[in-house]
Amino acid sequence: MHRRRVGVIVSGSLVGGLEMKLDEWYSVEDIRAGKFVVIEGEKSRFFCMVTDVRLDATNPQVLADPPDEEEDLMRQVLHGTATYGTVCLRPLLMTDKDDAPTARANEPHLVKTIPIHFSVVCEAEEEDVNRIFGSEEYGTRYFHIGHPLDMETPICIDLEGFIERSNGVFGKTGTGKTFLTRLVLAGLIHKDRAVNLIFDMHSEYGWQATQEAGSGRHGFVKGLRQLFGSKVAIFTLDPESARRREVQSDFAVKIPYNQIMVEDIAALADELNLHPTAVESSYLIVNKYGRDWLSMLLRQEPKDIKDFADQIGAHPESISALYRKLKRLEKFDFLQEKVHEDAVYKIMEYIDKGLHIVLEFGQQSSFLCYMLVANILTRRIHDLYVQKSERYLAAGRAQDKPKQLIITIEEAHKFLNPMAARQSIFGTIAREMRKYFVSLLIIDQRPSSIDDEIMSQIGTRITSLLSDEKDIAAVLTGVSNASWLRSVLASLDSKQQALLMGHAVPMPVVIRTRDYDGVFYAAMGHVEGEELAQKARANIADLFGDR
Amino acid sequence: MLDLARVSQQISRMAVEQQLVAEDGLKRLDKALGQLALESGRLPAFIRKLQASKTSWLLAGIHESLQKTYRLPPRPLAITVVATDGSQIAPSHHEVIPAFLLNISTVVLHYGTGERAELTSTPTLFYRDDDLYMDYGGQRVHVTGDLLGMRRTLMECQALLRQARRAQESGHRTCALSDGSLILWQLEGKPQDYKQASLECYVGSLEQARQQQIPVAGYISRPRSRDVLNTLRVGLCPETAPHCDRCPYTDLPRLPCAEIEGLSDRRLFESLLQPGERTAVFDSRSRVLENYGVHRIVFFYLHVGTEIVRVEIPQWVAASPTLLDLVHAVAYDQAQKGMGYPIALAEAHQHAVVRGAERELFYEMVTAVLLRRGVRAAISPKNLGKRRMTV
Amino acid sequence: MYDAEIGEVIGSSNTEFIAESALLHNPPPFGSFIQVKARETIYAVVCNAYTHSLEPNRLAIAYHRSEQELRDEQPQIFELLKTKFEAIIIGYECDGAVRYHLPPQPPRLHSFVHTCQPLEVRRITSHFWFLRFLMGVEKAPRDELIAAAIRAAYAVHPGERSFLVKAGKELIKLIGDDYEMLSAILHRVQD
Repeated sequence: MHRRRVGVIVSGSLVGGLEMKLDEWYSVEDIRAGKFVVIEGEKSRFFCMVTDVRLDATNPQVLADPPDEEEDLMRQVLHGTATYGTVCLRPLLMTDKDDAPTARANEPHLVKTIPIHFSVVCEAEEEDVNRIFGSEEYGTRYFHIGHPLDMETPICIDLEGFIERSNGVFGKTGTGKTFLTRLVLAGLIHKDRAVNLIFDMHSEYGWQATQEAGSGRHGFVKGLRQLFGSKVAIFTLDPESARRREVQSDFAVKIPYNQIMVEDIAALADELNLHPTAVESSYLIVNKYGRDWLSMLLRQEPKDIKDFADQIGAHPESISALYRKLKRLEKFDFLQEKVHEDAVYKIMEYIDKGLHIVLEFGQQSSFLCYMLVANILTRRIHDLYVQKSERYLAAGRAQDKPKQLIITIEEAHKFLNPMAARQSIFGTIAREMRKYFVSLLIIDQRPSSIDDEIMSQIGTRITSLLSDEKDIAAVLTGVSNASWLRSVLASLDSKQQALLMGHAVPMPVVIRTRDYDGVFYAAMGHVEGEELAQKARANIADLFGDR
Repeated sequence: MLDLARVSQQISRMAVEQQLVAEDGLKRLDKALGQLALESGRLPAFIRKLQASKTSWLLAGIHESLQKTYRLPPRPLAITVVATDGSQIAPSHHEVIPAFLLNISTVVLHYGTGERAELTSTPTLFYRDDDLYMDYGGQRVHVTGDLLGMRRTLMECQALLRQARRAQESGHRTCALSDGSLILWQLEGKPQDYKQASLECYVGSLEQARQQQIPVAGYISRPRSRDVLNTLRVGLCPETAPHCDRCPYTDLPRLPCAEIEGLSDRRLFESLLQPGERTAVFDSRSRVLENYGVHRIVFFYLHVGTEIVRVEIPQWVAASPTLLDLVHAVAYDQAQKGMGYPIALAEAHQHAVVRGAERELFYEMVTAVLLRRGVRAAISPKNLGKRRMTV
Repeated sequence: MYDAEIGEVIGSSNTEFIAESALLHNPPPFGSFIQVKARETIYAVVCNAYTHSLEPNRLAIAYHRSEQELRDEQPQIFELLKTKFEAIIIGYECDGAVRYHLPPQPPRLHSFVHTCQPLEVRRITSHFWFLRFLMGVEKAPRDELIAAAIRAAYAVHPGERSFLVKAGKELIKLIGDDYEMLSAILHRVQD
């Protein structure tokens, strides 16, 4: 394999990383943080990422008296000899240098040592990338998510590893988290690895959405439903909105009051600005009225609150506050006294069939609404899942095995900040890992607000540009020797670049995300227009023979 | 070890006496110059008196006024000057074997043409009995000392003429210079066989020159000759026909002619000649010249700028105004070029000289070769001792 | 072009040799490449040339005459002056290739010296290892010598700027810590 040479290793350590002297014919300006290179050691091959670049000179005199612009000859002479570039590399994986690429011994493994002096460093080749990250050719567990910087080779995430834990997509606002999430979800759906329940706050995932960058800017991109057709169902909280946008929804979700429990309200304490005592007071209402506690409360007239409070033995002020805050819920259309169909059962029905659900919020896209609904539904789904899992674990029959469910939530810090995480169902799910076949895909731009312990449970992190030091630190929680990743994170482009690390990839890697375009659609099996007609004709021919 | 203290007194004394001598000398010179002017005024009488005299010293043959000087003629732009010199490594019973080496140098300088100068030296080794011994007064003697010197002189002369003729024949106007006198006065009184053979050879070379009309000149630096001065002494003599054998003035504290004793011709003419000028041509009464035939040597004095020199030429050269002028111009020009001494003669000398180290090498070479051939070469203990002094 | 002899070796050692120039006042140029054809061809760079009197006790003096005048009126001095040149050995020919280390034996006395023709210079200077030999020279200013040699090599690589750059990079290895000298040499080379 003929790799393009970049330089030679001149110093370094296992803990501190390696330093490479850049070859004189390779421009410093072509080396970017996150670039993927390969070191040909004496006995091993090391796969590394570029973490830093600097300029060096052998003699300080050269810098004190630099050549003028016209002194071409001197500049050329000094270049690469007295003045040269030094690149810092972090080796992440190593393999033995045998010629049998499929041998067991050649599996990439953790770096335990470093290459010898003057080992040659080359650009990585397609084969290297495939060997490390897998390839879609090797099987359906690999999903092509992007390319390394400066290479056209696909980088794949291992979906098996991905679904082993809860995962996160992080990045500053406007850095393409939605696209990344859509890619990942598409991958999961296409490769049929898990069932997805997506709480789509801004109606971006189900049907088409506007494209902010790339080719086809300001155009529309296809939603999951458009790509995968009947495999994806759109549930909506706001049927009107769906109709207006000409989105075909499969179910309008309505939640009866008697499904709302105190825990759901407690989770909204911040949003509603509820005093903890108010929350405590709710329990008193429950004591008296059980599941109808909320309807009972909301039915009261303001003048009756005092009496109501007395009746249940609660402080009138607390109840009054509770009443005032919770009255807001009445304006939500989807909250009703009685409901024909239980949304949760409907959801479970779809899930059991292996169908994916995007729950659109339409106009109901306030934090309050989002959190309320997500909490309520997830709590109940989780309960059902626990039952199912226990039954399955007891009897062990294959048909009882619950489908692996991934719940996607945005603005995750609202649900998983240190305060909320203790009580919210999402915190529970995150901590339980895959015990009950449910995991999370959290989307967030403020990872520093997420509870540390939760963060450490996040198996795979897909991070686009972050500039806040705290956010960067948060994303790197639980990653050993992560200091070198900081500079990489800070140097990402604001669009279409992300750092992948965690279970789904053998080593952290910076990628240019795959384009979400016609090519992608086709790869996902989507056909349209003329093609669709042709396909139909072909199908007909198959069915009825050639007429 | 030199006792400087004791020497210094003697040096002081010497200086004082030299000064007296010098003062005295000036007085003598004045007298001599006065006499010269006097005799030049009455030249015919002077010449007659000279012809009538019989002195024990050499008298110059005068033809012109002693005060007559000749200005420097222009030198032809293109002229070739040839000179030779020689040196010897003498045979010695103390050294390896009785052979001797003569090293004859030849210098050919082309002026005005830009041609390269030819500076060569030709060593000849004489080892055969015929070379090492010669007939001398009927006897076979070893060639050494004066005899060797004469052998060398003859070889130099032959080489001089050979080169001069070569130069002339290849189209160069040539002038030949020799270091020292052309008068072989040292042959005077020597055995006839030796004298005859030597003169034949020497005069034979001069004849070759005459045939090609190549002027030959002898150049004598710091001449001590008194030929002309001696004529003035004759002038001083009160006798009408001085006869030194029968000098009537021997009772006097000082002889009349002694007043200008101690001077030399060159001192005389120092006062009379300007740089570049020569005197008239004088004859030499040296007895050996009777054998020279047409090549009888005459001479003149020349001021070369730094000194007065004596230039000797064969008569036939003096008889030709062209050749005489040529010699005059060349002698002066050569002395200028050589910073006071003719450059051709100086170069010839440089090229003839065999230095001590070279001499040693010569002996080593001879020893080595002879050893190789099995001839035992012996160095006498005396010379071995001379080689290295130890403590 | 007729490859005339330009001199004869009159003294030699493993690292350098001295030759008498065939023509008075016409030694090979300073910094140029020459070769001695003996048992094997030895390559060298001229590092010094001088003209002096043959005899140690005869010194040259000023005559205040033009050379032509001297040749007309003092022809003997030209026989007594000799021009000599010294050269640093930079390699030799062995088995059809140029070796850039010292030959096993010094050049033989009385071997003839020739200039190197352009093609030969190209061949010799295809590597810059010869520069290291020039670094050790004390009898000529180092930067002048190195610059002259590089100029001589550049002359047979006309217009090949990359050649100069390569030479410069090789120099850095040898004198990298002496930036002043590097600068001085590069300036001289560019003239």
